[in-house]
Amino acid sequence: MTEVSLSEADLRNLQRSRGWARFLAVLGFLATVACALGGVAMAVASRTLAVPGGAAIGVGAAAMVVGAIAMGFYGVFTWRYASAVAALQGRQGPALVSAFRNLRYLWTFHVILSGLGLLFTLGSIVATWMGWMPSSAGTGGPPGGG
Amino acid sequence: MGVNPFDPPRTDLEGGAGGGEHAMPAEALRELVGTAPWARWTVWLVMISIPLNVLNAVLTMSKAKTPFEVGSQVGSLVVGLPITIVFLLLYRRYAARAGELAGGEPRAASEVIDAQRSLFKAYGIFAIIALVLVVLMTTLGIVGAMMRGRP
Repeated sequence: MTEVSLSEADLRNLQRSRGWARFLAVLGFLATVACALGGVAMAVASRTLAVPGGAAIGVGAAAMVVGAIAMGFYGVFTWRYASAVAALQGRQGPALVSAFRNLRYLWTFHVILSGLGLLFTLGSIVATWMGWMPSSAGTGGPPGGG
Repeated sequence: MGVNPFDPPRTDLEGGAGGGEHAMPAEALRELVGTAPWARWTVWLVMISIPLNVLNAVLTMSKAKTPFEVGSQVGSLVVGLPITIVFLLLYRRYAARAGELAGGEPRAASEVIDAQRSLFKAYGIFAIIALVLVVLMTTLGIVGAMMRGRP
């Protein structure tokens, strides 16, 4: 494999990305807690409240739990990336390996989430087309096709 | 220029290639190159998702029963599409540079790192805007509810 060198500017760019990564990781953890609490609240509501559409609320609760797990993974990978970049201040090779490994995990995870988002959109289109869902879920979607 | 056999061995980032350059460990380079196919997949998925989301919105609007449903679809398209396009451009930039790095272009590593920094920054800025909007809407909702509750 070709030998690659990192300049001081590259190391500065890595350090600059660290702050944003840490911020996004914290948001990911907060979103995990919010989604988990929302999912539990919806699950309880679907069982206890005698309202029409209880099954739909149950599906919503399951979606919130899946969202909590996804946000948790996102938070962990981003946090580990930021921590590895922080360790680079000591110019440690293993830290750079760890940073880029977590970056790869993030991209992999991003593709999985984008794929799921695309499937959700397709399902929403079919459901609306067939008249199963007169007012469908949101469109436009978050960045990444989700 | 050949390699001087009397030079000390270059290791990781501790020695450096001189002139403020630091050799990247081969394993780190492999990991960075490993992001290239995933970035390419992301670009494809986002490109496919754009027309599908537009189709979904149009279908939903055609079956909408209230102006609110139509408005929410138009709103999500007006807000969601530009954001998705901005991220698509950033993903494309990363995927292109990572592809060059995978193709053996060593200078692309700097651009890959810069593209990743731009992505994290864009995510962060959009997250801040979203947070501000959520706080604003919640505050407006609470104030509205309090105003309606007054005798």
